[in-house]
Amino acid sequence: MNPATPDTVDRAAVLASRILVVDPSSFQRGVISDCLGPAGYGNVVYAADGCEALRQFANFRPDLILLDIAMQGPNGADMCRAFMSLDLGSVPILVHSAVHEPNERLRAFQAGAVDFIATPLFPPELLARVQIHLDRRWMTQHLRQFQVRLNNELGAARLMQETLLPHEADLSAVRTTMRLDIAAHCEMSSELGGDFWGIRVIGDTRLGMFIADFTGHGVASAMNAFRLHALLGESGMRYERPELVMQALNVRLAAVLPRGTFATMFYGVLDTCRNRLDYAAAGAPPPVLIGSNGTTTGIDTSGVPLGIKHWQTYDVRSLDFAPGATLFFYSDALTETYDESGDVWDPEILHSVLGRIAPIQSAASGIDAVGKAFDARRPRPLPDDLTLVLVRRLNDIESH
Amino acid sequence: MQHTLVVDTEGLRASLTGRFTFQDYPDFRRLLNAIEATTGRRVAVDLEALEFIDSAALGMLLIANDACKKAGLSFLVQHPKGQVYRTLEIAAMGSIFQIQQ
Repeated sequence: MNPATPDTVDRAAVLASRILVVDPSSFQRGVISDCLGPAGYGNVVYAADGCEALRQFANFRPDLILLDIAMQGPNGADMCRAFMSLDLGSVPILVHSAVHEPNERLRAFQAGAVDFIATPLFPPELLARVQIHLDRRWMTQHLRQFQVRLNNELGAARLMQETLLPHEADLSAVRTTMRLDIAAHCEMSSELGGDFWGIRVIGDTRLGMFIADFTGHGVASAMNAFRLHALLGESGMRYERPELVMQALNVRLAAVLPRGTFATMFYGVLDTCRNRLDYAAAGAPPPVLIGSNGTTTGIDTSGVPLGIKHWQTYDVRSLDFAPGATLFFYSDALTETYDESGDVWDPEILHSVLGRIAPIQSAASGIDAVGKAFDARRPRPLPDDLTLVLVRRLNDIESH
Repeated sequence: MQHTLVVDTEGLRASLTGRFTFQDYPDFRRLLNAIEATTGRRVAVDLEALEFIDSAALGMLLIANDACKKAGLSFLVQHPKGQVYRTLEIAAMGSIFQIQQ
């Protein structure tokens, strides 16, 4: 049975529902009692007037109310309104009456009643209507409980996923030791996402940095991101050799990912002594190197994504990455999300935006500027997960 | 995404238009069923009028390629433009299946 949409209601739970009968006629209360009792409804209380009904409502918290619309004093419509004002939630109110005047029935519906039963009561009809509304209430509550549980579980999973990303302390440490200013922005399109970025410290002078993005988004992609995190942590992973990291991940992912699912990835190693970035790429969106003078250079990331071909090899490629320069990498939501006018950032627009925000004063301000330019007129939630990362090499004159 | 299917002398030709994304899986299943039922020798997917493809849709092309391999058919992608071309190029799809400009 699917817990979200059970095929059958829990009959015992429905029969244990609390029913409040509001009826001034002791004869009528007797008829209803003789009807509900033998059918198995054992949790029924009775009120003869409006005051008692409201008191019972507060104490008893009924699951369903059976109300005589033609009561003296406050009439049925008044009572409906009174119940509704007491934060009734979804408690169904069934009204019954010997009055067949259509406007009377209409007033009861307008005041919040969900069903009307004509009197003299026909017991099988009364039972059928009570059961329909209690079944529906049980289903709704069941679904609501499932939704709450699912939200709680997704919230917990999301917190776990956030722990996979670099912590402030990690970024602060590489700022001191390698004079790197790093900032990131992550925005998931649903509760969980398939984007994943990180850094690996290699000795005193080198830093591995990567971004990966699994096809699709949501729970399945998030689980794949956890998978990738576990694979990256395997002993023997040669973080200083981008092409070997990529090959090792590819072999393992190709063995487990279903056809049609893959990850794009960029993995680079910055050598701060040699001012060089060695990298390997598996079809990731092309990062951009922003020079201290504002020039932008796209990085070739063509390569078969991870998990498609078992024995795929990856090349190592290199470029200069000197102090004062900034590397910007991102997930494809940046260049694939259409704005309200139907426009999307192609590589030319992205380079132009990055050129405009240069010189970048800090990684955080750079991320903020890109985010602001991107946010304009883009609908939320985004159709895919968005990750933006800026890695800026500090100049000698810049303080720690 | 919308697609039209034409049976020609060599096999099946599917022309895709619009935006091919994650949401198009049900439509793609119909295309896959047609591939599995084809009696020709090759399946050509014409992307000339396709404006956009995301990574999930790229995954669907890989599934179609696999289905063709299993059925002993050749699989060919034709005339990708703009963003679609760039996406196929970056993901080096030319090393997985034939792309004809």
